[in-house]
Amino acid sequence: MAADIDVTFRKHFASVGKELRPEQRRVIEATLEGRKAVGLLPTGAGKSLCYWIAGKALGGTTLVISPLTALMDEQVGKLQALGCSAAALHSGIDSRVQLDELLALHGGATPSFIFVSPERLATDGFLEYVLRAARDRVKLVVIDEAHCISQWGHDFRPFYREIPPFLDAVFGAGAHPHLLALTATLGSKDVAQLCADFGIDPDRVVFSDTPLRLEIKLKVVKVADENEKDAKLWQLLEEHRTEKLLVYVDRREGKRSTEDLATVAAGKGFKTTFFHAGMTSDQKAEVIRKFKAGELTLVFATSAFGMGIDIPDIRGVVHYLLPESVEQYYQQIGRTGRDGKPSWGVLFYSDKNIEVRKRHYIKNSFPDEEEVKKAFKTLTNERVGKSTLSYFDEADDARSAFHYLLRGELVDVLGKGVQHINVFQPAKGKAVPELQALLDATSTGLLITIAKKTGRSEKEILDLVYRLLAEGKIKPARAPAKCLILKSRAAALPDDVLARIMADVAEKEAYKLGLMARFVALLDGYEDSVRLHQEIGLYLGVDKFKLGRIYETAAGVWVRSKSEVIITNLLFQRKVPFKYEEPLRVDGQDYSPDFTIEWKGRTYFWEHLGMREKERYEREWKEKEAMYRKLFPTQLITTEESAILSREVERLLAEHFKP
Amino acid sequence: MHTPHMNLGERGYEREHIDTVLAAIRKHFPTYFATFALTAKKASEAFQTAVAEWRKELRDYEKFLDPDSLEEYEDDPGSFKSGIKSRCPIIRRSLNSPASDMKKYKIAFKLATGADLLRVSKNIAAFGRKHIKSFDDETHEAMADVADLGLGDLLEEDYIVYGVIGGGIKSHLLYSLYPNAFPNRSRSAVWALYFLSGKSDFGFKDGSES
Repeated sequence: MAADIDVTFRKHFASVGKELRPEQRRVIEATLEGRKAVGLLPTGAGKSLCYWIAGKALGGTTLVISPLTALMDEQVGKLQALGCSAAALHSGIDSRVQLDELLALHGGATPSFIFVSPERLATDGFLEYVLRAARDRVKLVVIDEAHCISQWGHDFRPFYREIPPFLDAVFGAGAHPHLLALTATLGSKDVAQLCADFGIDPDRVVFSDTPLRLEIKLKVVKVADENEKDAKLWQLLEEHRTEKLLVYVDRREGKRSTEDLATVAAGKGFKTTFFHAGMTSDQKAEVIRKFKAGELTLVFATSAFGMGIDIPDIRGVVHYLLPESVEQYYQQIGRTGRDGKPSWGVLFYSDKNIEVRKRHYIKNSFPDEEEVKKAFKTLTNERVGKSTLSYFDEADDARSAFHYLLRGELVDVLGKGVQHINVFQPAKGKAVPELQALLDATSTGLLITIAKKTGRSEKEILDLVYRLLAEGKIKPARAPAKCLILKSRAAALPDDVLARIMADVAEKEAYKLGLMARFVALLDGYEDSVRLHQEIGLYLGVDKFKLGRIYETAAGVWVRSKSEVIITNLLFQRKVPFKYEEPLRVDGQDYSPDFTIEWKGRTYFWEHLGMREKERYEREWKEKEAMYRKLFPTQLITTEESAILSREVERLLAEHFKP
Repeated sequence: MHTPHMNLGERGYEREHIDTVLAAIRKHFPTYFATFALTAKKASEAFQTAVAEWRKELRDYEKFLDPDSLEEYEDDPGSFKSGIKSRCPIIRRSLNSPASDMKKYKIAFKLATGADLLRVSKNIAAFGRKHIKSFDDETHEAMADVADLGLGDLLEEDYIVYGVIGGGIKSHLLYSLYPNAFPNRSRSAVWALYFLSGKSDFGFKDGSES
């Protein structure tokens, strides 16, 4: 197994880095051995490399489910540059190119990686048809940014919940290929839900040893009002003018928006622009390209600038807006310092920002009664029966309410397909009587009308059309509008169902407000950067024992004190292999030696005594020392705080660990 | 696009006002016509171009407002909405326009339901079919009152999807099928009215209706 991973890494990805981090290796092993795994690695820890290696090791095609087109395009670009075949299927790619990819896949091609969004999986019937045909060649499914599955989270994407049924439809229940879910931030409740939804053994959840980005220096600044915030913002930006900076802002346009601030910044001579979801894919890609290349050094962005956009040399992230939760905040500051160099984050907030975030953004992110009723009208036409929903053409409120109606069992999704069959025509030189028979049934080519008039089900019609398309007998005259085929169960929205939906909404709203309150409590209690990281770590469920590891060493291990940094670095330099705080169980009791060293067949324990003046510390040390003296009398090495610690460590290394 | 002319108040429909505007048009028309048609040949070419432009999209509008097709869409009004962009040229142009003042239109379109768009399109198509059956050129020429035109119903709710199908698009749909009977109240047509009537406001406040 280890050999496979290393061979694959060296063969395909050697140019990426010298070696894998231990946590990356554990994620890959969990995926290959256990078939299904979750990797919780912090931003910048190299999550992508985990599935690149797992995918190439398994061979065949890896299907990567990813939430953002920019993220997909970036991954495809990187993989292709490394010589791997990769393709993305999203609305920014020419529909004929996408069709060619799917036809090739159906015909036996095995690209190493295919990227799709969860919405695409949920609405593209031909994609499902092709994947079903190619299922034996799909060896790994990756769910990237898996936190989007959390209905409680800020990045919740409802169609992530449709992935398990999709996998059942394509591969058969219980016959899924290997699966890996990856994310940086996911609370324990959501990890449990993820494992339950995908049938992942909780033992296959790999947590990072260093889930916190302690190297990012964090500062929180409370201001009285927006004017003070503006003054401090411009002062901060001026101080860091020569660095590459990202500023998170709430609004796309209007006063104090991304566009407004970028205009002001340009006037002050910054190489700057804005970034938000209202821009086209090309426009966004261009901003990312220029920011990466250094043609821009200051970008004002909404939260659309996130998830996996990999610009390694962003030095500072400024929060001009107030994030909704600890998770969202920590994910956004994760944009900085991905090159491992010192970086910082500053958050500005006021009491008014808190109120606005609660009142306007959080409350307005949920549909109210009128919006649910309107969505019901849109989706069902206020009658029992079938209809189609072109999901992406609907307004956000209708889309949001659709999922509530689905959960409220007012609509069923019968399948996914196209609204008009007459978008297809015979391929050049071919006569296709089966298609003609369908088209002759109506003047509009509507799928539902054809089903009604021919007595065939929508599924039968679509299976026929997809078969003809896959066989090259027909082709689309234009990109077909993908849709969900719905059946509404009621002509009117029952009061009790509406009440249940609104209760569900109220519960989610209360939860989000609770997350916000906890985040604000952290900000209000800000003392310094390390403490803020540790509080965040506690909140995210990081092992308390690991929270004190706040110093990085040359070996890549994080340790608790600067003195331990000295010891670790010298051990590393002298190539003395060690494990830091490796658990030691003796007579039913657990101990944690600072350093455990295996050297020429013997085990040594190195303890650094940093706080002997503290009574409790001294008492605990005496107990531990007694154990060592009894069981390992000649194997204990100790050092104490001293101005000449380095010299002492060098001496001990020379004495005990001669090469 | 245009919202119904309800906030013009009654004065916009009064005989006296109409006569005043007509007088202004009669005064300025010869000047503008002279620049438009310097020669008979130029005038003929201009008309031929206009007819060719109208004919280019006629088939699309005939298919879009075909009564049998509209009836089939009752099976799936949602499909009517999502397909409207490919089937109705003027709505397609509106939705594809990069102009910042079309942003509101795009938002309104997204919020409109397929059922409402279908209902109003059916009503407009039915109105056109009924109107043209009894339309007569000579009778039309002799009309002296707005009410005689028989277009009052088009101002009713059944013929409007607010922000999406208003006066401009409605008039364009009917003009496209029956250009001899329905004027094309496009934006440029309103500008033409403004210039032809001597760029006067006739006492109306700025912004009362574009």
